[in-house]
Amino acid sequence: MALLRQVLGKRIREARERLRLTQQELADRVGLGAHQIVSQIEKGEREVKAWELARIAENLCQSVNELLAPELPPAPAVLWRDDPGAEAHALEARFVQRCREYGLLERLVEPRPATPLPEFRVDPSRISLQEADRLAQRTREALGLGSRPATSLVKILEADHRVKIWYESLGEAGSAASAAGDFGYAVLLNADHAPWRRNYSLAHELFHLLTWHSAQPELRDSQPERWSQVEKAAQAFASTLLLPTDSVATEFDSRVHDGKVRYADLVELARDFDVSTEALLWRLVRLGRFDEKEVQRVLNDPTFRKLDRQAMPEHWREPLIPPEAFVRLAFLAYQKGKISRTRLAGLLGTSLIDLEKTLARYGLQEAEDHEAAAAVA
Amino acid sequence: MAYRKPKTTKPLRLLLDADVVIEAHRLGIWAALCNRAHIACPATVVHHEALFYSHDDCSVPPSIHLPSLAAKGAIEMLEATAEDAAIVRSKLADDVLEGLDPGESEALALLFVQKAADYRFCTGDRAAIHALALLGLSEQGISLEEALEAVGATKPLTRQFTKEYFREALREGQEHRLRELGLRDA
Repeated sequence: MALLRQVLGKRIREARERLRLTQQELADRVGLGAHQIVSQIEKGEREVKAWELARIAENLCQSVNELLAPELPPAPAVLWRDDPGAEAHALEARFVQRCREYGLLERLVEPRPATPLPEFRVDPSRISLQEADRLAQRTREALGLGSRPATSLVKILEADHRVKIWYESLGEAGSAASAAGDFGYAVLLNADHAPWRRNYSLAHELFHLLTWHSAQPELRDSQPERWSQVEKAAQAFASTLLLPTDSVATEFDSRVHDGKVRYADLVELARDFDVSTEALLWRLVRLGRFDEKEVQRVLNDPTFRKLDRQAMPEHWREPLIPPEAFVRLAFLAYQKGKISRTRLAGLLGTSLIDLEKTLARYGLQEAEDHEAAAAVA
Repeated sequence: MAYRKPKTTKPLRLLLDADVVIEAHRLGIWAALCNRAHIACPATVVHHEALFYSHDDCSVPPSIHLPSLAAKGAIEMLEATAEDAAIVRSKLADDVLEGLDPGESEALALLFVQKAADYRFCTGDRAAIHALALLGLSEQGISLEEALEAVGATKPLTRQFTKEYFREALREGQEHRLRELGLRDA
């Protein structure tokens, strides 16, 4: 048992340090009072109560089971588009915890096998925008995204390829992240962004997932110049993926009259493809429909900005947190008796008293007859 | 609520899961249960106030504010240690443990290391009942329906709190135990 205390203490210290928490900060969060108590626990000198361990685990974004395990799974790689600053470690730990919970639910529920994402090998120092375009076209075909890819991208990635898509409020300046680990692939999107900006971020992060093994995230810190090339390719990929050449060109050309296109038509076209007007206009530059100067002029024109803003509310969708796919999976695991109701409430971030209402937000209802079934011929 | 003479004079000792606390509260039988049986809760459940928080009321209903009830002696708080939890961890597979809330895991640990040997774990949760049977502790489980009968009270209950549901979940766990499913590899 002394050995267990030492292993547990070491595990707690490592997890605390990863989160850049001081002993006093952890003591305050757990309600242990003085930092000396955390110090004693980490040295294996003090018995830990099960309830204390549960609180420590919660505050370190781990499960009790993980803290008690003799070995930890390898830490997943998380790739941020822009460094989220001081909050990075906490955000990352929470994101990884959610991904692991997602993975657990998949194991418990055993849904139909996932289709692996295509894997593209690229040379990070040489990747061109044309190559990124080609990858986007291949991806659109491989994933069956159709002519309006943004409208189906989330669902297809979640349902067919088990990409875990999570949302977190990261502020207006916050970006996005992708991750690969024992849970598979995952993407973190900024819940504060407009839906079309989230779509773009998702497409951008998808490029990193598809090229994960050749354009490795370690490059970001070790070779920033090569990485900047990869980032440009990811932007081009996102643009081409969400705005397919043929569909955009056809739709745009049909709106041109006497060599002009109305602002309202541009805004409507952007909403139709579920992308921002900026993304659409720059794509049209690449398709030779506008020159850069004209796009800059339009984007700076207050009349265009006003029209764009006016069209936003009716298309605005707040992401559900937790995401619907995760909640449905957790609910299924509960219905199958794989997780307890209290665990379900914990996963959904709600209380046992409010669980029913939380489920109702997702159109789910606890029923006594959920095991009723129809015979298949 | 209908009253009947209790079947036994020996006070029933119940170790309650959080879902039973809430169900008893919802049915208006919480006070009666506390008066007629010796009620205990795992410390993790007592300290986890967020479980009982109601957004509508912006608070935990006072009648099930477990820390206050424990302080007044109306319920007992039983504590397991991390070592006890590790013993249970050495028996159950990760996916079984990860399907439980820490309060349920603590209840199982208390029973398994015999710190609550004369208590019966009362829960309406299939995953928890299943784990109880996996640990060979079926005899120490009890449904809310049976507990209410034992203290001379009856109340229409949803299926998950009935004897039948409890028996089915136990049976499933016992079968898995025999087939060594859900147990940690030696």
